[in-house]
Amino acid sequence: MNAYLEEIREVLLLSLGTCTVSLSLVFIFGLPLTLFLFLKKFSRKNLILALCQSLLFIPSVTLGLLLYFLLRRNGVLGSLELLYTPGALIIGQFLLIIPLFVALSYHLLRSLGTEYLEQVISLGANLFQLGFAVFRKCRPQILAAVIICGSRVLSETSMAMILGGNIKGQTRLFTTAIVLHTMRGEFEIAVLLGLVLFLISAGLGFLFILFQKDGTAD
Amino acid sequence: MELQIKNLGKSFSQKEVLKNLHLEVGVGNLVLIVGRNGTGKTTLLRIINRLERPDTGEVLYRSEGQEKKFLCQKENRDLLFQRRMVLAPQTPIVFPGSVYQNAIYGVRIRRQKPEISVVQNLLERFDLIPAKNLPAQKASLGQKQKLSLVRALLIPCELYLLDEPDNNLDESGLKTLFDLLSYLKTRRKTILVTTSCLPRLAQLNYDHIYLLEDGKLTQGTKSG
Repeated sequence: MNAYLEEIREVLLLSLGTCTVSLSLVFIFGLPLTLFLFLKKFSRKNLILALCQSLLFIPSVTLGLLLYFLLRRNGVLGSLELLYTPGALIIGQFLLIIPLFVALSYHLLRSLGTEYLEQVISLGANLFQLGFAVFRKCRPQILAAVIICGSRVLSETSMAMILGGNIKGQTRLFTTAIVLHTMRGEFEIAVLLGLVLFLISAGLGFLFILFQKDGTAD
Repeated sequence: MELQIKNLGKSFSQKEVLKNLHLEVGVGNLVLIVGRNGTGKTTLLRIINRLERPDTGEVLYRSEGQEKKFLCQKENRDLLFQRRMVLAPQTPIVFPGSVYQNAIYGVRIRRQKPEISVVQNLLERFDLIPAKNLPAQKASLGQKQKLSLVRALLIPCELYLLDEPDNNLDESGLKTLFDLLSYLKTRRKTILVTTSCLPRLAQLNYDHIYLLEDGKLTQGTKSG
């Protein structure tokens, strides 16, 4: 039992750790990027938006494969030696969810309207202050978007397998660990891991509903 | 701040809103622009405030004692330049927080310390003291309009752009607005005010009045 608990602890820390870092990066870069796309008027803006939206539907296994070719030893980014490290997992997760976050927050800004943002700009705000003003106004909805992204990251398997290699204690996440133990016929630990992942997902779902309620009340 | 607007043109969906528009505004001038709804008053103020790009022509700015020649928008895209002016929109926007926090929001954004006595004074003059600690979202439309004006007028800058400030204002609010604009004029601040209802702003101590019609400005006189 102790071995099970030890494995669950390792997988939990690594899964939540990589997920937290990739979500933070998505939040830090995604909101200013969305504001830029929303406010700036430039040619081919619609093309860029269409590209962002089409990336929403990219299969994670394809993205994983693409990143694998970039990160492998003789790949363009091979010198960084990131393949089979948590760094590779974070890059993959970030690229997987940034189009989703941008699409959700772009929709949010559209419903908020340009008047609100323009008033903040007219008062003399810089991009950071503008992002903060949007966050203050739409905190529940933005947090809900972050939760949706987090849920996608936690449930992703194939890309984590390709980029992380499912190395015990280093890159083994909930999903990859469950796949491995099921294939080995080690159903007890597989079920336990599945149960913990389910509880985390249910917790996220509960938070999502809570934030949605806050948003409508506002 | 001095303003020179030359050959300004702007269209929306093939409808020409502003056509070859010219305007010169001197330092410390209060200019009133009158026009019916949809004649381009808001568009003009938005272009001056750099929220909208003109299709043709340009807006030139010159700060008293700072620049020898006029600066165009393209040369000055930095934040400090943007902070030389402020726009109070025709539809008041309020931010999360209390009425008081909303009043000082613009000053805070510009990383300045609000002078509490001045804030109190403005809130009092606009009859907003009873609502001071209430959430701004819960304020009435008239209170939101007053709050939007207080927030803009509290910001120390060179050019004030007030888009139909008389909307939703009661008589005492209008009088307070006139007094404050007259005070700003004495401090050599440049002010552009638009309205669609001239009689409401007839008591305003303006220097020049223009009629915006068919995308062009025609200068009028105080008497009519």
